Amino acid sequence: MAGKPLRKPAPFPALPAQESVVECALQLRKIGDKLNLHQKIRNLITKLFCPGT
Amino acid sequence: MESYEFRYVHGLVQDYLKYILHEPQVGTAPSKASQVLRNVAASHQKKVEESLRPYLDNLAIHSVDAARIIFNQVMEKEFDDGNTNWGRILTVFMFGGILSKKLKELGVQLTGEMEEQISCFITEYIIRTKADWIEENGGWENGFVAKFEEKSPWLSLFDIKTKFMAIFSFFNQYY
Repeated sequence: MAGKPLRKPAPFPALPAQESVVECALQLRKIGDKLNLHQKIRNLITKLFCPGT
Repeated sequence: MESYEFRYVHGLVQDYLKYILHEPQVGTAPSKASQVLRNVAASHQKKVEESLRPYLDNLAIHSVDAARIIFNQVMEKEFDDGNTNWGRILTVFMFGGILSKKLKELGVQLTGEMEEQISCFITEYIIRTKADWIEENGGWENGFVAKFEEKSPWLSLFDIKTKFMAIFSFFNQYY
């Protein structure tokens, strides 16, 4: 006798669109701030070690 | 009539989107700001795409209009803490690139006209909300390029080590 058909596991509930928009924005903000800080540090190192540039 | 700032930023956005979409560029050589934008933003584009993928997959980006609405909502939220910096401005371009790629990925055939619409809404956002900040912070050439261009490709570990040793031997004389 054939067993019960296997039920597909429920997919992870998708975030509502508005929540995804907020998450995208927060990720971009974090990435932008990090990029800005890294560049500041790089420029500072360049100034310290290569003052002529 | 479009202002000089609008045309300048529009050129940057168009150039960046074409670069990200691997489309051939025709016309004059890219400006210095365009080159720096390509180098810096494009080198982070993949990483940003990966970070946003789980959220973008929940958004229905099936048309340029939908992309415009999502773009404006995300940008409004990103900057709603009142802070702006060049890193965040770079993310405006990167997000525009991500949305364009997503449209293509979802089977939307991006015509020249559609690409123009995308670069227009990105430019409009930058001009409407960031033009004053950009001007106060040196503009594209003296602010952005000065801050992000590769200044010292020759700054090697050897140079750093030499400088450290010089500093160390200087202090060594007194202690």
